[in-house]
Amino acid sequence: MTRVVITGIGACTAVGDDSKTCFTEFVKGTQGNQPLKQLDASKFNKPNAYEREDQGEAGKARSSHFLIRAITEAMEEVPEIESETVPVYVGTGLRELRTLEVSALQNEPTDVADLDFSKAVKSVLPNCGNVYTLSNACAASNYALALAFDQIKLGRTKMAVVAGCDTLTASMFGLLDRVNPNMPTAVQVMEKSRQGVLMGDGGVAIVLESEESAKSRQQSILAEVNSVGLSTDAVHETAPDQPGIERAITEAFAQANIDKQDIDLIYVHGTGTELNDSVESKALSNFYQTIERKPAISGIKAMTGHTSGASGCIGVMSAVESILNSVVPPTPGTSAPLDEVTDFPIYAQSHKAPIKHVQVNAFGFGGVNSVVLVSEYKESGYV
Amino acid sequence: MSNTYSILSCELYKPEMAGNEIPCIAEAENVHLHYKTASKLLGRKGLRYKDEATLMALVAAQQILASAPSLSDAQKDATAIIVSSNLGNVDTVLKTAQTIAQEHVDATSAMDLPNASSNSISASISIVNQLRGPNLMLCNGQSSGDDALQLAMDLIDTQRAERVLVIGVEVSNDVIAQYIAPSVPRFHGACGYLLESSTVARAEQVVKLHQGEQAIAENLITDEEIKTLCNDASGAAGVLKIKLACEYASKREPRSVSAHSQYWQIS
Repeated sequence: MTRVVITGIGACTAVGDDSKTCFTEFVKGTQGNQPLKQLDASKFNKPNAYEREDQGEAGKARSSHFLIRAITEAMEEVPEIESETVPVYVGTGLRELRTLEVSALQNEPTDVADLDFSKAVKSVLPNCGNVYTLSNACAASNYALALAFDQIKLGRTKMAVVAGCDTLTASMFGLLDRVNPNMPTAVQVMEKSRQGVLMGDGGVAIVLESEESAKSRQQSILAEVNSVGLSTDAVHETAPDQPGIERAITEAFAQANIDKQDIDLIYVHGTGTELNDSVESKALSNFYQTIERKPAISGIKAMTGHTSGASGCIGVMSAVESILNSVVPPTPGTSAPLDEVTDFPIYAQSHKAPIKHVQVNAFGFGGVNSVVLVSEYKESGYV
Repeated sequence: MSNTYSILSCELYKPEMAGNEIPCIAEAENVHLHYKTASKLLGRKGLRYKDEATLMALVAAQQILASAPSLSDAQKDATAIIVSSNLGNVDTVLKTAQTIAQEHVDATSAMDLPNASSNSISASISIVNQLRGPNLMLCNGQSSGDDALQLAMDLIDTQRAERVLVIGVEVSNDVIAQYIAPSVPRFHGACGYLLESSTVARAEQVVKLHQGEQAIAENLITDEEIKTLCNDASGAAGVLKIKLACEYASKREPRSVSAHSQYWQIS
């Protein structure tokens, strides 16, 4: 069976311009929440967001800009991605809808072709294969990862680029503000006194390839993708569903060659909302109830905010870095974790430990759930 | 891996259009679908805050599922959904952004929250029809409908799903006309099909997709042909190609479609 490995990564968030800086800041527990800048703060109740400084083109094409930055970084490690046989799967919650908003407020139309990311990808990878823009809410980049992973497993492509990108839209930031009576200033992951979600800017790119393809070029292998579990709740447009989440976790392990007791670390979806964190913690508590030594939990959104469609693969990027650097990033802002996860270590400071297997959760509006299992690359495998 | 796929049903829905075949589109106006009308067609409540793209897609989905053999609960678990649309939630996004710019976030409607996410269409179809397989929202520009066919076949080949409900939907209204370029007559409606691997297809009379060589390209349904018949259908264009091919197949005149570099004869 073909093994799928990660050979290149790139990322940018509110706390870093590249994947190494992002992860270094995650380990320090640096939080990127700042007073709102890209949107007119006087129009909203929530004062903060996790934005990046780069403006884009007068506030337009910012998601594309983050995507290009991340792909460019990944390409430095794996220049071969610029080949006509390499497909690119881009997961995004909000596409370039911010560009549409900015243009419309200036009474200018937006070209349909500027709503997706084909142009942005082709600007850095002019010779790449098919480009897919998949708008699967906050699970989008992990869904993109699933599609690419499957293609490599089936032997239809040796290599694929998986990416995610998102920026704040006034409509999504505003409606999340509208429905939350609390006043969060930061995301507090699985904390009892959490106040709700705040959005963040982010871009991420991951080069996936078959083990054989990487070895044939003596490419250094960063980690292995063990499996990707997907599920759909079919219950509610915005509220999460515990059985749906549990199905995604179960499916991921059913496809993997490791068991739950092998997991050292879980990058939770952890949005800091009342509902998500409550349901996700119950699902984890239930799934891991037979495991005595619970895996550690880390909540990246405390540092980056909710980067929407990019967040899943930012978790995968962090999983790779945790494996390579043997470290669990802290989860700042979580001092009294929810009762369901008190047995799972959640650190206030970074924690050094060998990390071999990591679970990455990403769940989205519409009940789309994804769980990725990332493993240390071992030539002999795990069976 | 399958080289043959079956289409169990294929339907086109355009509000108040007489007839249900592609040539009828030329004579039809773009009529706004009110949620009460959709509610009657679907026989269910709770649709008041769905955007128009979602309403049209829900009607098309119901028609497609009704004309195929019914699905057991286990089969629903193994049924994926792919929706292709570029303009689906543009109106909700712009209405909300304009309200915030002109007034304040407090003037927006909390009921619009689900529609601020582009996948509200595919999510709604899963909820209404209890289809729990992988759920994909594809917003991939002009090729999006062609890509949907390819990804549907991929989901079947990888055994993530036994069958895939594919829907293409676009809206044409004043907001789109003002804020989306190019300014052209646009398709307003939803179209879709139910795709299964031929090895498990549950009906005897089905339309089959056979993989073919480029030589069958002479019967290819082109983007231009769809544009002439349906106007600019954007993310729905590739799905309308399948509908047109199914209509030709029923007249025993096989046509073909291409998805990426592969050619499929539909007969």
